[in-house]
Amino acid sequence: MVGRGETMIEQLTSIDIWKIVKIGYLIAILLYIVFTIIVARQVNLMDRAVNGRLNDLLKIISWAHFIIAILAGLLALIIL
Amino acid sequence: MPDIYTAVTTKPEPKKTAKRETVADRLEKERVDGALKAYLVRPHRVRFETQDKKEKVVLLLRRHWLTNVGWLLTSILMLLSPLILKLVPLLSFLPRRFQIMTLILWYLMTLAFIFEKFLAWYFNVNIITDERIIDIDFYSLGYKEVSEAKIDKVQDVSYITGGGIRSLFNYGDVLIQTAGEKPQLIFEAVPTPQIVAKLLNELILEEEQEKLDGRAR
Repeated sequence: MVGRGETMIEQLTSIDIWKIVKIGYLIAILLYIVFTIIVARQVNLMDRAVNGRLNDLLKIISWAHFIIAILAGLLALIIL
Repeated sequence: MPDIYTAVTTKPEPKKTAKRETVADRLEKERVDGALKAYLVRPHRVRFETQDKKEKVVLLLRRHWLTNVGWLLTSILMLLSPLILKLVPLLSFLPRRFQIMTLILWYLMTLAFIFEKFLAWYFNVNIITDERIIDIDFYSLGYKEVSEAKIDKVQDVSYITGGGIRSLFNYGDVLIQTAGEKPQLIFEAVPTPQIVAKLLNELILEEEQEKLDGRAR
């Protein structure tokens, strides 16, 4: 019993703190990706309400923003 | 018996009346257009959701560009703030890869901030057509409020340019009292509010004239 407890403590203390921090970063980026999807949909909604000269450009920027967020997420997975 | 009186049977020619120039037609010659302007007169390629086929956009108004200075300065500070890390190494406790990722996240948030602020300015518009007044507001992600009133329901138009900055740069609020569901529409921080108020009054008179002539739509 004492041996098993000691093993558990060893396992807990040997957890790499940076893995937990990495998970935190990945969650943050995931939330950011969800936010970019909402922004892209918001731009579509706005475009339907008022159609102007820059609307097409703003739609492209909103989807580019989403793609950049995805790339940042992939980068985080690779380098962290 | 000879005829004493013979009535004229030919129909008189209809009087040719000159086509009345409407406010929209007059402003066609004074067009002010541009992708990033706050005051557009008879703009090209602008349509809104509930616009009728024959309805003409007379004015499209946004908040004066000066109202963007606050968030523009904040954006510049956000873009430049990582330079402070060279003087004060705040992230030195993190491994290098985490420092890079923190910077990337910071710039993504800055990009999101700038984009959201620009969208809020660009799409929050006030539109005056030859038939209606429309106020389109996007308060937050996915929340849209569209208020409109027919010009013949407008009861009073007034404007305010309070404060030194507003007087200097000639922008202010136009308040429109209506007999519609929403008793007051406010065009906030629009350029040349006195011209907007004058145009609205002209449109009101034009609408009244159309009613008298039986041409109202």
